Amino acid sequence: MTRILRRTFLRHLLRHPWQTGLTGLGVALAVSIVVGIDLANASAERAFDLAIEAVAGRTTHEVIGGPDGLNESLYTELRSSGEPWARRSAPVVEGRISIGDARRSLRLLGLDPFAEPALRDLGADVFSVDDGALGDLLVEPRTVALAASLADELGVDVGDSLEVTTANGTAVVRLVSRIRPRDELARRAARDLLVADVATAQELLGQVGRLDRIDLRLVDGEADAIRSWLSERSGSVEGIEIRPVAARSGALDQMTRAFRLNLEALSLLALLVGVFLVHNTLTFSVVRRRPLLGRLRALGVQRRELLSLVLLEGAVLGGIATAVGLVLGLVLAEGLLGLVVRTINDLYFAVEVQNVSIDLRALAKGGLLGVGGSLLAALAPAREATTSPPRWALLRSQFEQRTLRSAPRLAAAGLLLCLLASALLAWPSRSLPIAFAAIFVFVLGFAGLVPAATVAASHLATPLMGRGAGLVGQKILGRMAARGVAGSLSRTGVAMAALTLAVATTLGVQVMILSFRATLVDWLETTLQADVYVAAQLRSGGPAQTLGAHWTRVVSDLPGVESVVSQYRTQALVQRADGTLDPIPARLAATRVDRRGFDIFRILEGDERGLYEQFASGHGVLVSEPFAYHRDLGVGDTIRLMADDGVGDFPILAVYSDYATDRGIVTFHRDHFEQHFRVAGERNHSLGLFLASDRNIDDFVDDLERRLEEVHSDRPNHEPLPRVVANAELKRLSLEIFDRTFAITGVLRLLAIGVAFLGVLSALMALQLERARELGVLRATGLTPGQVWGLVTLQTGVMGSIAGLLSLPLGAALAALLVHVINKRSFGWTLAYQLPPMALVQALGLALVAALLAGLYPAWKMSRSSPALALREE
Amino acid sequence: MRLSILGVLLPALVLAACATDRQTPTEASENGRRAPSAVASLTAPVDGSDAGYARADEVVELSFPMDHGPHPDFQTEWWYLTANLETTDGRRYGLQWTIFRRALRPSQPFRDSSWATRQVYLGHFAITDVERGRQHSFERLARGAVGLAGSELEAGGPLRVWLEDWSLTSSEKGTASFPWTLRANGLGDSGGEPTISAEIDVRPSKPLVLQGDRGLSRKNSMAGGASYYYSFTRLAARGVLRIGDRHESVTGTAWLDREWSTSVLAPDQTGWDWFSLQLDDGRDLMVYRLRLEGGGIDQASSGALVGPSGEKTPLAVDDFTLGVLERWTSPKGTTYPIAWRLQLPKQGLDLEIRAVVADQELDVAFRYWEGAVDVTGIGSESGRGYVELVGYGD
Repeated sequence: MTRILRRTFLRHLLRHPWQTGLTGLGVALAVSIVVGIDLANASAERAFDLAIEAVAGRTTHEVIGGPDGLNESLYTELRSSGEPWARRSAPVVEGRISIGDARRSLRLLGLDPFAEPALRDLGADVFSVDDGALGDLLVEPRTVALAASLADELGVDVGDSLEVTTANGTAVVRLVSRIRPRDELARRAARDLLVADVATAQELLGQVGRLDRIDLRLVDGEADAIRSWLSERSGSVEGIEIRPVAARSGALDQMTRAFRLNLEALSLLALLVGVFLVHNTLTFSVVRRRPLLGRLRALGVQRRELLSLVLLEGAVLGGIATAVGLVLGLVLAEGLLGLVVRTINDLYFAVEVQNVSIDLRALAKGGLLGVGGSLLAALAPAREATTSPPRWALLRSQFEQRTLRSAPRLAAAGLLLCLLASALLAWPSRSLPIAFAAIFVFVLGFAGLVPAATVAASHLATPLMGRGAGLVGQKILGRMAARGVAGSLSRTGVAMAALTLAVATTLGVQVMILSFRATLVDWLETTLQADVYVAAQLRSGGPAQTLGAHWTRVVSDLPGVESVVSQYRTQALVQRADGTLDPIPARLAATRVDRRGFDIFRILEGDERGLYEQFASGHGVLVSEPFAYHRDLGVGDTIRLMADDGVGDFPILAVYSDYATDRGIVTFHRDHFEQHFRVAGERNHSLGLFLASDRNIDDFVDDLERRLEEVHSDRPNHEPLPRVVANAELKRLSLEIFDRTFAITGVLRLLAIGVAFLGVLSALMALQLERARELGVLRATGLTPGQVWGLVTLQTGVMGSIAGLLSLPLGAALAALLVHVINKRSFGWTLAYQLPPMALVQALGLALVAALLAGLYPAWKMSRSSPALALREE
Repeated sequence: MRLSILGVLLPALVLAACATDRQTPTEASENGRRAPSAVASLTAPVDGSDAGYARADEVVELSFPMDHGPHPDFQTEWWYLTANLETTDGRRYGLQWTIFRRALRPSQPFRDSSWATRQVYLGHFAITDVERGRQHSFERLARGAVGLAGSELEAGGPLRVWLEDWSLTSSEKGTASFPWTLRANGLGDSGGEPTISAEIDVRPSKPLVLQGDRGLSRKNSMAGGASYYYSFTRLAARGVLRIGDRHESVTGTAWLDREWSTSVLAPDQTGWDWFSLQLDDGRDLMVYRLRLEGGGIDQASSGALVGPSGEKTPLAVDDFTLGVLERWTSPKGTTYPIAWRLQLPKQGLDLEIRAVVADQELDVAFRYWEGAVDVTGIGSESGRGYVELVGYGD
C-alpha cells in the first residue's frame, strides 16, 4: 500500500514536468549560489594559508621590525652570536612582483641558500641547482628561479628574460633555474613565487640594507632567550619583535571576514527565495490533489502516512535539485572565484588562486541547506494535507475560504517577526551575524504580510481593472482577472511572496550599491581636490610603486604649481592593549600637506580649529572612520604602532571620512612620520598638485608630461616614468575600481533575479495550468480564445504589479539596512542613503515583466485547448 | 696539499650542504635528503670553467706576512690547522679546523646589495676525543659578505679569517703577528652529542716552509695543475677545549697549511693520502700520495722533510714508499686504510703510522677521513701527526 502510495505521489512530480523542473531549477540555482560563494571563499582562504604554510616550512617564529624591516646587520650579529638558535635562522626579503602586463601577481622571495636547509625544503630545493646556476643566483644581478610549472605557464625557459615590476620599478630578470619542489605543499606555494638570492631581492625591491624578517626554528623557551638577546644588543634603537609564524596565517581570514560574510548572506537570501519556491510548488501540489487526498483519507490512509508522503515529495524534489545545485555550484565557483579574488586583491591582500579547491564543508553545508530548506518548505503543505477532515478536503471553495481567513493571522505573525527584527537591530551591538539574522527575520515577517496585502490590493484593483478593461469593452474580464488573484490565494499567496522577496532583494542590493557609489562620488569631490596628480602607477593591484624625491622637486618647480600634497603609504603592526600584535597590519599614510590641501580631510570627529597646526607639528595622527570603528577608538585615544624606531604611542587628533579601504588608515604628517619611520630616499606614492587659478589644466598637463619625460630620459635607470592624471580622470579611475569590486555583488544580484524569475515562472504557470478547468467552463460559456488569453495575461499582470508594488517598501527597507547597519558593521563606513526613483521603476518593471513572461505559455496553451477536453475530469 | 680536490669541489659541497641540512648534528634533517650526486664525480671539474681566475703556473716570490691573507683572485684557498693536544693529566685530543674560500666567478659585477658576493666560505671543525674513542665534527657554510664570513689582512693590521663565530685571528699588534687564535664550536643535540667549543692559541716553533718549488706545488702534469702552498709544520698550541660539561686546558703541537690555487685535478686522479707527522726528534714530515684510477700512483706525489731548525729536504715520488697495514670500514660503508708503513730509504726512516681512533670519518656533506695518528719508529723517531684520506667513498 505504502509503496503504491509513494509511487502515486512521486509520479505526480513527473506529471507536471514543467512546474517541477522550473522549481527544481530554481532551488538548484539557489543552492549553487550558496555553494559557489562558499567554495570561492574557501579556495581563496586556503590558497592564502597554504602559501604561508609552505613558505614558512619548518619556521616557527619570525623576528620582525617596523614597516622598513630590519637592518641586515642584525642577521649577521644573530648568526655570529654563538647561541644555539642562531644555527636555525634565515633572512627573508619579500615583496610583491608582477610579470608582464601585471595580470600575474606573484611574490618575490629573497633567501640565503646557506641558511635555507635548516628551515625550508622549498628554499633548499631552489638552491639545489647545478653549480653554474648557483653562481648565477649569487653573483649575477637580476637572476631568479621559478617553479617549473610557473615557468611553463609563462612560457619561459632557463636563460630567458622576463620583465617584472616591483615597488621599485621595472626590471628585466633572467631565469636561471627551474624549481621542482618535491612535496605537494611546496609545489603549490612555488606556483606563485619567484625566488632569488637575498641580494637580488634587495636590489629588485629597493630594500638594500634591509631584511623583511628573520625566520627561526625554535624549541621551547628559545623565544624568550631571543627576546632577551635582542634587548641586550647595544645601540639598538629599532623596534624589533619576535612572534610565532602562526600569528600571520589568520590575517586574511580576519581581513576579509566581513566581505565574505556579506557575500554569504546574499547567497542565503537567494536560497530563501528557493525555499519559498519549494514551498509554493508543494503547497500547490497538495492543493490540487485535495480530492485525491480526501479520497485517500476516506479510504482509511493514516494522517501520518500522508504527512510522510508529502515530506517525501519535498525531500525528493529538494534532494534532486540540491544535487544538481551542488554540481552547478562547482561550475559557478570557477566563475565566482575570479571575481572574489579580484576584489580581495583590490581591497585586501595579494593572493593568487589558481583553482577551486573542493571544500567538503561547503558542499555539505549547501546540501544540508538545500534538502533541509526543502523539507521545511514541505512541512506546512504536509500538515495541510493531513489536518483537514476527509469531507472538507474534497471542497475547493472551503479551502480557499480558509486560506483567505488565515491571511490576517499570517499577517499578524509577520508583523510580530518584523517587530522582532527591529528589536534585534536596536540591540546595541556591532555583531554582523545578528544584523544579518535581523534582516532574515524581517524578510520572513514581510513575506507573511504578502497574502493579506495581496487580498487588499486585489480588492482595490478590482474596480480599477474593471474600469480599465471596460474601455476596451471587457469590463467583466478585467474584474475577473483582479478578483481571481485573491480568489485563488492558496496558490497565489506563496508565489507572490517569492516574487516580492526576490524583487525586493535585487532592489535592496541595487539601492545599496547606488547609495555607496553616490557617497563615494561625493567623498571623491572632497578628497580629490588637487588639479593634477602624479604617481608611479595608476592602477591598483600589483606592487605599489613609489616616486623618488627628485620627482617631487621637478614637479614643485614647475610654473603654476601653488602647492603640492604628497602621500607615502606603508603598513605597520599594531600592538593591542594586552601587548600582543594584531595580525592585520594597519595601513599608514604619510602626507605632506599645507593648509589649503588639508581640506581634503573631511573631519567626522574632532575639533577642526587648530587641527592642522597640531597635525603638522606632530602632536598626533588622523585616523579614518573604519579604523576608528573597528578598533572602537575615538579622538583622544592613542594607537600603539611598531615604528622603525621602536613601539610608539600615537594620539588620535581626529577621525576623518575615507572610503578607500575598510581596513582603515592612520595618517601622519610627513615630518612627524619621519621621526619614527624610515623612508628610503624621500619617496612618495603620489603627489597632488594645486594650480594657480589662472593656469589652464590641459596646458599644464602637457608641460608637466614634457618635463617629466625630459628628466626621465636624463636618468636612465629602472625607475618608470611617472604617470600624470588630471583630477577628473582619477575620479573616473576610482569609480572604475569601485565598480570592479562590486562586480561580484552585481553577479549575485543577477543570479538572485534568475532564481526569482524561475520561481515566478513555475508558480504562475502552474497556477494558470491548474485553472484549465475553470477556463474550460469560461470557454464553454462563450469566451473566445482571445478573451481567455487576455484574462490570463491580465491576471498575471495584476499579480506582477502587486508583487512589484509590495517589493518597493521591502526593497527600500532592505537597502536601508544594508547601508546603515550591514555596511557600518562590516566595513565601518557611514554611507548616505539614496533612493533613486529609477531603481523603483526598474523593480516594478522587473516584477511585471517576469509575471507577464510567466503568463505567456499558459495563456497560449489555454486559449488553444478545447473546452471539452479541459472540462473532462482528470 | 690538503684537500685540494675538496676545494675544487666546493660548489658541489655548497649544494650538498644545501641539500643535506647538516649544519651540525643537531640540525640533521628529519627527512632523508637527496645524496649530493655531484660529489661523486671526484675528478670532473664541477665548475663549468676556471677561465678568468689567477693561476698558480709559475714560481713567484711569496711575501709574508701579507700572503697569510686572502688571495681572492684564485678560485680556491684554505687555512687548515690540525693539532694533537693533551691535558696536564694526559687526556689526549685531536683537533681539525679548516676554513675554505671558494670563488664562484672570476669577477664580481657591480651590485648595490652588500649581500652580493662571489666568495663562499666552508668551515670544518672536528675534535677527536681519544679517551672515549670518538670524533665530533661540524660543518658551516656562508657567503663572504655582510660580515657572515670572510678573510682580511691589511698591512699593519691583524689577520682575520672567519665564518660566523668560527675564526682564526692574529694578535692585534702588527701585521698578522702571532699568536694566532682559533675559535670554533659545535652544537650538541638531544641524542647525546655534546656541545663542543675550542679556543686555541698557536705560535710557530719553526719558520714557515715553502712547499714544492719555492712554494709552487705541482699536483699533476697538466698546465696550471699546481698551487701555492706553504706550511707552519710545527706550532706550539695552548688553549681550552669544552666538551659537554668538561672544560679542558690543553697544550700540544699544531700544523698549519695554507694553499691557494685555480687548479683542476687531472681526470685520472681519484683521491689522495696525505700525512703530516711531527717526530719527537724535532723533524716534521709531510708526504702526499695521489692515487690514480686503476690503483697507480701519480708521479706528482711528493713531500718534504723539515729539520729541527726548519731546513727542508724535498721528497719526490721515488723517495718514499707507503704500505697499508690495516683497513677499517666506516658505518657509512666506506673502507679506509688506518695503519701504514712509511719508509724513506734515503733518510733511513721506517715508520709505522696508526690512527689513534679508527672512526675519524667526518660526518659532513662530503665525507672524508681526517684524523690524529701515532707514529712509532726506531728510537726517537716516534711522534704524532694527522692523516687525510680522500676519494675512498661514494
